[in-house]
Amino acid sequence: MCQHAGCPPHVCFIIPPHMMEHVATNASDPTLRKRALHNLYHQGQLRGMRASMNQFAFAGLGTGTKQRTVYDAQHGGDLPGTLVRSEGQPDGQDVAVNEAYAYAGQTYDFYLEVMKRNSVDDKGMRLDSTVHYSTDYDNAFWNGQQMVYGDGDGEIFDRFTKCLDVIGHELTHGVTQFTAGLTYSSQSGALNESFSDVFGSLIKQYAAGDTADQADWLIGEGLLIPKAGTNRTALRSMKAPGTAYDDPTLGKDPQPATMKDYYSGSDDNYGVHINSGIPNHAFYLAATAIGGKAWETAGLIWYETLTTRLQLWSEFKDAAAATREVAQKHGAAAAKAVDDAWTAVGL
Amino acid sequence: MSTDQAAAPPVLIECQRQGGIAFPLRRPTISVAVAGLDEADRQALMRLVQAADLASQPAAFPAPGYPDALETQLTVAWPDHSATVRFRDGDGHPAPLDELAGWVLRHKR
Ligand SMILES: [Zn+2]
Repeated sequence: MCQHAGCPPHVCFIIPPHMMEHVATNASDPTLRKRALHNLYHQGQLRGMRASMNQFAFAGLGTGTKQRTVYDAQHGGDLPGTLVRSEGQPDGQDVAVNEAYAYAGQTYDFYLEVMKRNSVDDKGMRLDSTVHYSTDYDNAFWNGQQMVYGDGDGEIFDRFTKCLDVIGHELTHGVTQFTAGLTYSSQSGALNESFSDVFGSLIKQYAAGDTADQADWLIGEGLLIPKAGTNRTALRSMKAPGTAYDDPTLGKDPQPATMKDYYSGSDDNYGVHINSGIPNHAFYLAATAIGGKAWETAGLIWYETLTTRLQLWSEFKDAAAATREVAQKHGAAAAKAVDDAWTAVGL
Repeated sequence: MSTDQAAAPPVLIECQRQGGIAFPLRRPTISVAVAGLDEADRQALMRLVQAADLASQPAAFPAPGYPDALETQLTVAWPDHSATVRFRDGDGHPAPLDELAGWVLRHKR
């Protein structure tokens, strides 16, 4: 612990960041790694989160070197938990561990093979996942450094490692963090959510080899535990926003498909998971109009937009303008499909 | 928290979670009536309520937390007043709030 007068113990900068990164990456003791990550995180908060997150490129692995670790929180709230699987180790008995490991790998493969991106940070960042987080934890999230998955409650939600697109969604929050940085509120937040849905769906389509016409365009299909007489199809539908679920307990999916039904309330960080239905639907329309495999053209347009054209406070009109411009590189038919898609959703 | 409040047993605890990747899907509110608890559970709950110290917490924590952070709303009701706090993954809230929420969620089973 730092003993310098006036220096809070958990944010002491006496250890240079590069040394802390080394400890965070290489220390064999999980407690030391955790403390180093904690310190880097707090340094980041003080220096500006976005800049700090680029420090987490500490793995610095060469392109194509996949590094995954899976931890078990054993139903507690401490992260990352106990290391239970490292890269190259075989499947074990725990299905959540196996899924977190396998689907992180498929997400890595998609970004490398299709987008030529070397992991979340494009510098080979190790993909860390924690499973069995907390109690009755009906959620998955990206905490700026790693993925975290709950087991669900067994009544409404199944385990959150179950769906490849959910894992792709969470890791794409990491990609967004290291690129456009889209602020998680209002339209920039809805774009952040939408890019996670778009690439989550594309990762699933790529793994299945589906064309745009064959894809289900659902996010989290199978995550909701079925109940007779209700619609618990998925969390979201990019093809038909507002139809993913309808259930007396859960409510009805409120996602709009077009700007006409734009949500202007303050819930959900001003509608980040609600209004994402609009750019989601625009992507679906563009991809199906272009035809073939959605990652081959529409996906590339959206990826170039996310990684080179957008920034912290970009809005829907900025994403529409940027994708329209990038689409020109892919021929007249693609440009028209993208233009028509945004026009159809009111942008 | 005042000494009186810390010493008085609550009558009801409610926990509701919403948000996360599944937002805006609605989730049920879990309520635990203290009168229905056995003595050991009542003592355990009292310790958790005191540690969570709702009266000293802000009604909501301002930081946005992580993408897809789950939001928890905890309400503790005493005979003559109540206190409510909302927090999310990654917003800097104290750990005892999670421990109290976890106890309530586990207790429904
Ligand atoms: Zn998300």
